[in-house]
Amino acid sequence: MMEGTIILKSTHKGIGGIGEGEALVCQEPINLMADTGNVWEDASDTTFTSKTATPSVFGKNFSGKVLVFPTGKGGIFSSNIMMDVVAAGSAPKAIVNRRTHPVWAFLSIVLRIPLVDELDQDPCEVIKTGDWVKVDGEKGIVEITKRKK
Amino acid sequence: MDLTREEQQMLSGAEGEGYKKAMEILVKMGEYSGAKRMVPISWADLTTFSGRWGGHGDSPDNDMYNFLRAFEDLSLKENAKFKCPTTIVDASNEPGRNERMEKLGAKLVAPSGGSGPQDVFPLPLFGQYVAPGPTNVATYLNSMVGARGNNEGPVGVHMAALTGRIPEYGYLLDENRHGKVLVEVKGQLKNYIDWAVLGFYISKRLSTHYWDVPVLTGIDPITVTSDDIMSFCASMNHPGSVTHFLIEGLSPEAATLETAFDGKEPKETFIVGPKEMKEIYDMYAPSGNKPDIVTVRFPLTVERLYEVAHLLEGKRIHKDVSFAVILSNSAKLVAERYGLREVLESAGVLMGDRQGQVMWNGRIIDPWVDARREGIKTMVTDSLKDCNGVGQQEIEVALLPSLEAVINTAISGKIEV
Repeated sequence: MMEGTIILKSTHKGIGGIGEGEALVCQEPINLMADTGNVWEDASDTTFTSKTATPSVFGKNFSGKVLVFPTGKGGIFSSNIMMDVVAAGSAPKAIVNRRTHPVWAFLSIVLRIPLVDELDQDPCEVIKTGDWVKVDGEKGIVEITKRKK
Repeated sequence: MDLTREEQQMLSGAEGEGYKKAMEILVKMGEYSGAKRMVPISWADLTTFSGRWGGHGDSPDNDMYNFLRAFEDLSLKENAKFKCPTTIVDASNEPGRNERMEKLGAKLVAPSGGSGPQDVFPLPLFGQYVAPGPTNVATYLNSMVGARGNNEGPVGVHMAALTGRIPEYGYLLDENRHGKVLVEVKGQLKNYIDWAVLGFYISKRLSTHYWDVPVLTGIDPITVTSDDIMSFCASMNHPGSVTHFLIEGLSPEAATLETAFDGKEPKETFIVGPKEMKEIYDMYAPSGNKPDIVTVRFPLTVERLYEVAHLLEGKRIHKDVSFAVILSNSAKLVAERYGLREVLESAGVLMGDRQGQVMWNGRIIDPWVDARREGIKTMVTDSLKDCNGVGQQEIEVALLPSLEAVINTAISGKIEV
């Protein structure tokens, strides 16, 4: 293990295999239908467009990132949208939640996006945008390498 | 997970690839969510559509539709059937889609009945496990009927319909159905729009921990209508995702606060009164612009239909305003039989087949998708769901506080509060 690596463990198994990448940490719950407005026109553009609903990630996009956020919100359409996002080649590498919404759990199963939740520390506090994060859905473990200051 | 013989047989592939794949997905969900077993369901609903992001019932131009369609193809090839009573709204643009769903054993629901609890059949009963399609239906059935279901989206409900099973987690379990948060409601709620505002406030407040079941106290049960509750359920799923709540004296699992909280103390308490309600109304207050589109979003129940017809009798919608309503299936029958359709038609009201659709420049459009592109500047609605959905199109959406104000606005062509 590298020096400065933090391990978070889930109380249970996650979903999918292993995914790693740079973290994008959103402090607010996410509904892709309302919060990533550009996907309506172009499913490859996953930029967060809502200054009011998701101010902590406004202007950033989650493609190729490990997306860290408290939970999903809204109705069922995040799964429909994520399916188009994945088909457009713009999937996140993995998802980490405080607690996952069932709609997101099912999308993660069928789209094979590694996902872990219910960790022994709050991932939205411990992980910072830019940290390198490895998510092991099989074991329910998240490994964080802090970004060099 | 502890699987029955029949479940193991589906998982092994002995009944075909379709059941096998569906069972694999459900087992993964079960293992992840800590479910110990699967439970049989009394009903699944495949109504999971919305415009461009169609799930089951919409246009075949998105990947979720294609994913589900590939599943259907496999099931049709293997002559498989949905293993529980299954319904789907008839709203597909694809020829032959209805026949395909019927072959798989689903029953069709007329379009306007598809998105709310008004026309659900077979109506789930207390304690039954269910897989509802639309989010607000899941909330209604959990909270007001005492049926048990989670909000799982198109993938979850399709696998549930096919296998007739769902993993036992979330709101299926006793321990997750008890109250955790006490909401003291102060002041009178005037109508279903007030109820939507109340739901929006609670949902926003609980958006990071919506699984902590809110219990409402301070509501006089005799004053509440089913329209109020349907409106409440719809807005409980916008800024947050409350799939189960309890109302003291109304919800079957909340005869008293003691029962609702299972004898425990609430872990959080907050008040919603006139000040909190105003906070939400202020977010969508009209600016005084001239309205382009006026809508009553949710399918009109029979009760609401009578109210709209009464307000419009002998009146005429303003020539510069597009005003649309849709009727629930039962309201449609009443409208035909008792002459209410003529009242609405002669006033110039457009009656659509699909929730949210309006006529604009001679074409049917969906403001959630098309508003900005179509040059719509101001929309007036009775629905916070519209405010949230159309709001991201960066146009002005104004919420009015009563159905009467909405109708008067459509008649005069300027916003009336």
